[in-house]
Formats: sequence, structure tokens, C-alpha cells
Amino acid sequence: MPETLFAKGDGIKGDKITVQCREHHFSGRPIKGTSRDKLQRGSLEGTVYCIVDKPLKSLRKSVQHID
Amino acid sequence: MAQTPSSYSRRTQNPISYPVAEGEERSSDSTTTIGIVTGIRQDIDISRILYPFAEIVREEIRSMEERMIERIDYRIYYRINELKRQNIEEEGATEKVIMLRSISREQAKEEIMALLDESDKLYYSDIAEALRLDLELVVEIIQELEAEGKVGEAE
Repeated sequence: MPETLFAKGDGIKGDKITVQCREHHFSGRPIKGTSRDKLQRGSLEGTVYCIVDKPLKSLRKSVQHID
Repeated sequence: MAQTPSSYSRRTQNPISYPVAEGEERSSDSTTTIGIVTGIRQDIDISRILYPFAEIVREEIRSMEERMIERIDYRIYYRINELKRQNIEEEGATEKVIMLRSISREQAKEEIMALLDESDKLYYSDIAEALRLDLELVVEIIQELEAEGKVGEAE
């Protein structure tokens, strides 16, 4: 199993966070007071698993391409 | 039943009281003069002549309105049902269940590598969705591949 880095009460910050959960609740209403008024708030429930997503590429292909 | 005038009456006589529809003003100048040809001047209240016909027209309009309302009701009912059906179809599409594949860890690793070879840039979520694999398994395998130096972060 992947290492779990965050415990209860900890925050996760990232540009893209991929989640897996049983239920999600998002109001879909922009929250005022932010720079673009596009911030939204919601919650995930039930066996939540989050990963701070990142773009991946194959290094094997890059090596082959250079050769 | 509304009271209707039985005959023409001269303006000079006491007019027969007849009902006026709600919101309708009784015209004080609804008389006209006939009998010019015969030389007998006779003032006739046109509204009294037309009153029975007006009642018939009102009844007909009421009946037409009722029929129109029935048609509109049916159209609204039909449209609501149509929208409900569309909504059910759309919800069904959005709630489509993704069946995760149960494949061996080695096979999953090979498929992830093959997918990354074909693409320039993929996120964990893209891989999990494309290969219909559990997100945790994908993360675990990617971490292994990164440790092996086969996968890295794209710009």
C-alpha cells in the first residue's frame, strides 16, 4: 500500500488532487473574497483516498528517443 | 340566467334593467337612430339588441378557453414527462458504473508503462480511468516505477 503521509487534521495543498471516495458533497457555489471568486468548498466521505496529482511521463521513451 | 330585453324600447321610456358583465361599463351612448327611410324616428339601444348574442359569444369564448386549457395542460404534462425521461437518461449516463479490472500486479505494471510510452503526459487519474484500475494500485505501481527510474514527472 502507498505510504499515507497525512493524518486527521492535516491539510493537503496542490494544483490537482485526485480523490477516490464513496460520497462527495460540493455546493458548486463560488466563494466570494477570493482573487477570482471561483473558490468552491466541499467534502469527501467514506474511505477517502487522495493523491496530489502530477503529470507523469515515461523515461524509457525519452531514453529511446535520444538514442 | 341573465335577464334579456324582450323587445326594442324607446330611449324615452324607462329602460329595462339588464345585467352588465363584471368590469364592463354600461354605455351611456349606445343608441342609434333608425327609421329615417320610413320617416319614423326611433332611437334604439344597440347594446340591448346585441346583449343576447354577447352572452352566446361569451359562452363560446369560455368553452374555447376551457378546451385550450385542456390542450395546454396536456402539452405541459407531455413536456414534463419528456423532461423527466431525459433527466433519467442523463443521470443514468453520469452514473455509469466503471467496473475495475482485476488483473495481476505485473500485468498492471506493463499496461501502465505501455500507456505512458504512448502518451506525452498523464496524470494518476488518467491512468486509473484509462486502464480501469484502482487508484491506490496505480499510485503504488507508479512509485515503484519511479524508484526504478522508468517513470518521471513531466513538465
